[in-house]
This record gives sequence, C-alpha cells and structure tokens, in this order.
Amino acid sequence: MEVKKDLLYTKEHEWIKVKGSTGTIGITAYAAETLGDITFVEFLETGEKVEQFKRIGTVESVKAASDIYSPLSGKVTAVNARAAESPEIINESPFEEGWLVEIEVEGGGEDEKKNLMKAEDYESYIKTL
Amino acid sequence: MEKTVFFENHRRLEARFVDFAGYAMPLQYEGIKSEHLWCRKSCAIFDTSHMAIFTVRGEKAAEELGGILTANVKNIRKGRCRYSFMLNEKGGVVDDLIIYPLKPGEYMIVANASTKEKDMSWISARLKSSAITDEGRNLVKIDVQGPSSEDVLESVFHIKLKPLVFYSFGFFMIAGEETLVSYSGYTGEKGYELYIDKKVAQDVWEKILSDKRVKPAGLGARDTLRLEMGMPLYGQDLDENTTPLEAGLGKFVDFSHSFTGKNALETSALSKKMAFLLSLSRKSPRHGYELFHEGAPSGYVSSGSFSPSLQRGVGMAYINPGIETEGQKISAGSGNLSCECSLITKKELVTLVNTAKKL
Repeated sequence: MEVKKDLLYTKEHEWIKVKGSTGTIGITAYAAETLGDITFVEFLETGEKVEQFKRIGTVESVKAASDIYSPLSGKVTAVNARAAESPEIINESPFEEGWLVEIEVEGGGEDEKKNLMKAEDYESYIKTL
Repeated sequence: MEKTVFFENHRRLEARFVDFAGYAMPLQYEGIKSEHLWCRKSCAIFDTSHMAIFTVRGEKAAEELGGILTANVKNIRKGRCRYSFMLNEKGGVVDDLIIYPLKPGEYMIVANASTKEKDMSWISARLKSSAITDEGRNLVKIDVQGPSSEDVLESVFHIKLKPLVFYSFGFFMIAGEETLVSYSGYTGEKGYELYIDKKVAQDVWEKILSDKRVKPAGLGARDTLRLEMGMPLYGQDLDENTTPLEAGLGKFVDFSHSFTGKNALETSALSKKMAFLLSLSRKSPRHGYELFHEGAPSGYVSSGSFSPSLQRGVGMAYINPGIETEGQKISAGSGNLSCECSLITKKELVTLVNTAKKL
C-alpha cells in the first residue's frame, strides 16, 4: 500500500503536503482502495475557512458517502476541478493527479502539525486496521 | 459467516468479501464500475448460490401454491417460469420469488437468501398436503448475464439456448449433469440463471470463466445493474409493509384467483407509491434519505446508488400518492448529503440506460 514519505497524515486517511504556507490535501491510497470506485466529490468553496479535523468536503463511492476532514486549519484557495469531473483519477492517482483541495495554512500550522502522523507512523497505523 | 461452494474461486480472484445474509459473498473483484459496464457490454458471471431454492411437491401443489402466491399457478404455461409475490393478510410482501413448474405436482421456487428461513416456515405452515424441500444442499445457482451470454454458454457447453424466450426454461447437459437453465436474471441484459449440481459447480464456474468474454461480477455490480433497470430489492424496495401495488408491480398480481392478501389489495388505498429518481449530478440518493418536494417531506429513498451507465445518481423511492411526478424535481437527503433529482418513470430510466449502452 503506497504511503508517500514527505506527507503528513490523519487517522481519517487524509494527507497534506505543506510547502511554505500552502497545503495540498487529498485522501490516501488506503482510503481510495477501501472506498472502491469513487463516483463523486464535493468541497467547500474557495475562500471558505476550515478548522483542523473539520469537514472540508465529501467523497462518494458506489456504496457510500463519507466526509473528508482538513488535516490543518486554513482557508481554501483552490479545488481540483478535474477530480470533480472525473473522480476515477482519485482512485488512479490519490497522491498526485487526484489531489482534492489546496489551503492557505493558518499561521504556518506548526502546533497543529503535532496532531498529524508522519509517513512511517501512518504506515504502521494502517497495518493495524 | 458461511461460505458458498465458490469461496475458493473468489479468493483466488482476489475478491473483496462482504457478509450478505450470513454468507461471505464477493462484493467486487476488479471494481464495481468495471464489472457493471462489462456485464452490459459483454458477459458477467455471478455467484448467486446463497439464494433459496425450494421444491414443493404434491398432487394439490398447484392449488396450494396458487393460494399463497399472487401468480395463478395452475395457469402457468409449460416451460415458463413466473415472477411472483407471497403476501401477508395486509397485502404486504413476505418475499418476491420466481416459480418454475417442473412437472404436474412439482414446482421449484427460487427466493431471496435473506428470507430463506422465513419463507420455508411461511410456506410449510400454509401447505396442506404438499411438502416443501430445501434444495440448497444439492443445487446452487449462478447467473450468466450480458449480450454475449448466449454465445458463451453455447460455445463452452455445446448447448443450444436459442429456443428459450424471456422467462422460459429448459434442461441442458452441462458438465455431465441435466441442468435447469432459465432465460432470466437481475440485470436487464440477455442472460441466464443456471441451477447446477453442487458436485460440478466449481468446474462449471471455471469453464465459463475460461471464455475471454466473461468476467466475474460481485454483489456491488449486481446491485447497480438491477437499480439501473428499476428492479426491486427485497428488504429495501419491498417489505412486509409494502404492497405490490404500491411498488408499481401490479402486473405480477393475478386477481383472477384467490390468494392470501387479495382482499387487502382490493380494498386498501395506497399509502405510498413507487417513483424513480435521476440525480441531476454525480451525487447519489441513498437508501433511507428523506425526500423533499417543494420543501415539504414527501417520502423516502428505498434504494439509491451511482449509475455507472449514466454517470449520475439513480434511485427508487416511495412518495406520497398525491404527488404529481411528471416533470417534477425532488430533493433527496439533508445537509451536505442533499441531492437534487428529477422524478422519472421506470420506462424513462431503462431507456436512458439502454441508450447510454450504445454510446
């Protein structure tokens, strides 16, 4: 199961890549696999604020709908329209082309990052599930 | 969980399993969408061996079964099978099933896996001189569905299926056994249900799969396929508090004979009626979502999912009988789950899916 080294992870299987004050968010390969064929995604709008671990969107698969939670607090600056049009790319490439939302991370997010898992910890975590 | 005779076959195909009616069943292999689309394009094989297969035998079997089914059993033509309901005194559906008259005094009944024990008790209690047997120890069912299904079965087993018409059946030599095959299924595609002797079941499964035109499909695809055709699922679209008339399935009720529940159907008003939903987006209505028409609570979604053929959500729902549906929109679900749908007829839904297939 692919887990990317330079990302931070949540228990709910979201990942975030932080570069400066920009955070790119998506769901992990584990989540995509568990969900099965993703059929629909929906996000908060650009400009909306979100708190750490609060809902930032919804992802639906054939069988069910689940919420996606933001790994860090911030403001939505971009959403992946391609993923919304063709959600298959999330299954195909959950860490790259299937990214979901971009946020401007609030105040660097240093404190909040402590609540997230590093790659090795996430890898161990999914083995227990 | 119990295992079907095909469990190892599924495991080798790396199926993802789910508990259905106490059986470990394959939910999917390659993926629900791809299995679904392959069925509509080519041919899919389904393990449906968890379903109930009963035989009812007796001199008076036709009469006795006629008394508990909405089908006028004695009038079913030779070589034909019939979709029918068992109703309670309120006209509510105890189960939906297919009845196969095998010979005078002998009938095969195929019913849902989740209601096997209930059906066995219900029927036993109502038979007077006839006897019911559970054939599950000896026989298992598999479904082979898709435009290539006839050619596949003919080339794999050297049998001629052409004489079969929709909802007719015959006996064919398959893997050295006389096997009942019916032209029927739960997908809306040309397809067959095969009732196979357990001892040759895995061999038959592997032989069919060896044809390159065939892929295995799980319960996930089975559900999206039937939903696209507006076919009901017992436990969601049909239950003991829902009559066939409310479900829009009155044509499977033959009022020319007496049966349990007839009086209720003739005298009660509909408390709800079946409607079909087409989401205006990729968002799907789901089982249990409340419906809102012009802002007012108007019913609930009984079945809903994403339609791989239409790339939109589709659903079956029960709405207040007074609501005019033509050209109307309705909202399913609340809050973030809320999705806007058009109310359409079953015919419109099926036409949309069949048109999409050709693209």
